[in-house]
Amino acid sequence: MILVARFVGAAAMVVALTFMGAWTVRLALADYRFRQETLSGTAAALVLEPDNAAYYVRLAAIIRESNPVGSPRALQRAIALNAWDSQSWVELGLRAEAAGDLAGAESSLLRAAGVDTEYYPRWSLVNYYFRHDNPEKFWFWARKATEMAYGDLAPLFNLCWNVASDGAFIEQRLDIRKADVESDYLTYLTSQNRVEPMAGAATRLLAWNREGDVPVLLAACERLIADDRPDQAIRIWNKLAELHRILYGALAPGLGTSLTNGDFTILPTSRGFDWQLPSTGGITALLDERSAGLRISFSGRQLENCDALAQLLPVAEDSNYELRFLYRTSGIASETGLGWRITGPNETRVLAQGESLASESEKEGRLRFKTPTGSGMVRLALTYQRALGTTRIEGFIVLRGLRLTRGPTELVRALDFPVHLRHVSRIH
Amino acid sequence: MNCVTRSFLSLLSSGCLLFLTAVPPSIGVVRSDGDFKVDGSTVRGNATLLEGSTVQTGGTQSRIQLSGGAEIVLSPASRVQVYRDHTVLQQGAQSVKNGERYRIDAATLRISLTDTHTLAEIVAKDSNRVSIAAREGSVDVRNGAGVLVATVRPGLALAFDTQAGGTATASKMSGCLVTKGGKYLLTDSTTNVTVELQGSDAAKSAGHRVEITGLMVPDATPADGASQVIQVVTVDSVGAACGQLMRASRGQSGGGAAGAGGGLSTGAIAAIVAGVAVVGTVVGLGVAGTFSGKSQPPASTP
Repeated sequence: MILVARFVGAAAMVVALTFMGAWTVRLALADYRFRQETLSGTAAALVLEPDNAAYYVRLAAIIRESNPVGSPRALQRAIALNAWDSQSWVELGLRAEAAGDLAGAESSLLRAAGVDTEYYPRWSLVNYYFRHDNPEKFWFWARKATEMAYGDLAPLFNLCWNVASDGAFIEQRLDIRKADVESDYLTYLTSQNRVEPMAGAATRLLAWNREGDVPVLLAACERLIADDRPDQAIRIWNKLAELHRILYGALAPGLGTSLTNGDFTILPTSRGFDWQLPSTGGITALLDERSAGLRISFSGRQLENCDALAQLLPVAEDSNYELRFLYRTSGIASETGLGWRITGPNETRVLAQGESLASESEKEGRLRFKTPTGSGMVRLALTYQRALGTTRIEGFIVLRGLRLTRGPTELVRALDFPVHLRHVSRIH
Repeated sequence: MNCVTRSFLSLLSSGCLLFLTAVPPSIGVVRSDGDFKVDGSTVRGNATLLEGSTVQTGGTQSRIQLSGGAEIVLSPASRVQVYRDHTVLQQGAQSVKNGERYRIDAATLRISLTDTHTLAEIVAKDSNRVSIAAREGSVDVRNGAGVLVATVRPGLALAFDTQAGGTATASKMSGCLVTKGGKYLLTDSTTNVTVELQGSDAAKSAGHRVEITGLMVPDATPADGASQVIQVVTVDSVGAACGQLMRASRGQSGGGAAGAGGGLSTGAIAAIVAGVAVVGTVVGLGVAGTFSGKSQPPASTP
């Protein structure tokens, strides 16, 4: 009796294992045919495993052109087998829209969003309602999409700005609550040069105080500078300084603090209100460790007229200033065309031009200038303009200890005369 | 609040709402099974196209459905700027169908689908070289000045080089020279462009297959059935009479594949029309992912 039972058990086991083995081989074969990505392969896979939704999705894609009727049916079959396949719902919705079946399209897209709360179905609905001019539903789904947003959000913001042109309205409708989204939004505003809402977006992003947002915030700061909005740019710059996200002090043009990195404690970054280094060939800049200053070298192959260093200074309008600095040069003869220049921010109007800089021993130099009425920014630049009768300079200048001070009231009257540079004392 | 004030505020808010919701019309939808870029931003799945949107594909093809009916399949690693009535193919390859009077600009060429059933494949090899195949229907190809350079017949493909042909008026054609209403007409056997020939040498070879060189006469009004006037410089009779030509040309169509892949060598150039060098090539330009080609299905969510 026991032997019979054992025999029956073993036989059942063998049958079960054989069946499972055969089934495994069948599934493996179906998968193999499916991966051929051909019509015949997919059809064979479906014969072997007729309830696999993925196979129907593949079939729908393969016969999309050759069988316009069968393809959606295959997609519908896939959805019937796996109602949670949001991508198939979206695909079905887009096909229905292309075929003019708007009710079917909306229904499928909503179904996709119903089974999948991720970004993609919501993004698809945002687009659908944009195309069909339904702003109420557009904003509803734009807000929903924003909640689940990831990656590059410029396309979403772009649609929003095509629907509305008011930054405050858009921000209110999107109700951004994530730092990443806020960062993406500020990046978008900067890249699209939508300056008006930039300061507000930057302020919100600054509240998150994230190291990774510094480049985005500096880019916004620069855009505001370029748009001649120094006050808004300073707010970003100063907040970054306050949070120790940048290594510079806060600026306060009203109190006479307008110059950044005047001691060249770090190599100029060319960002924000820091020094801009030249992008032209033939000029290199590096920190001079010996004298704790900035050494700017001229190879002799630089342009005949170029900037070697520049900084945008936020200033008080209709005020006089004095720039003081220490410098020494090597290999640069006097009156060869190297000197400071103060212009308006767009470089069209020269406010002051310093004398040619050349001294083998360190000197203090001064440059006085008066800011024009209505201007909150000037551009300070160390320029090279080859003097007539000279060859292009080959050598270097070391700058350190730059100070910009807002002058006393009586100096304003003195500055009614042409601006000049004076050497007040010889240090060495 | 009195009635007038309420009406005024109502009008004002309606105006604001209209201002806020003035949606520019979309021109279509682009969708793909993978990532692609619209105006430089990465998009997954699908996106709405506005007038002038730039679409760039990555590793998978993208399909563009325009609201006007035209359908475009953009091959992997391609870039187009899309407008309601035309696309500018900047890089890669695209197929177009259902786009009667829809235009594709590639290099300096303007490519038009002649009817709704036309299916064309265009490959931009670089800023000067373009290959065009007409799988169904015919495709007209014009230069930047609007001069017809070729008509690509169904099942044929031509490769174009906008630089190799020399000056903008340079012409080199071969085909049957016939007389019609006292005018001499030549239909180029490669480009299917019919031109009116002017010059004393033309009369001598009428009724025969010839190879001519000459210069297009700008602003001249061509005879009926011709698209341009050519001042003949040389005419070489190649012997065969026009009837024999037709039989011979049928046997040769689709030949001369040289030049489709690389630049057009001088020897391979079959015709020069309005300064554009043309060579016949084989149908099937290797457009990866066409309407009939294999495509990747969307990944299924388990």
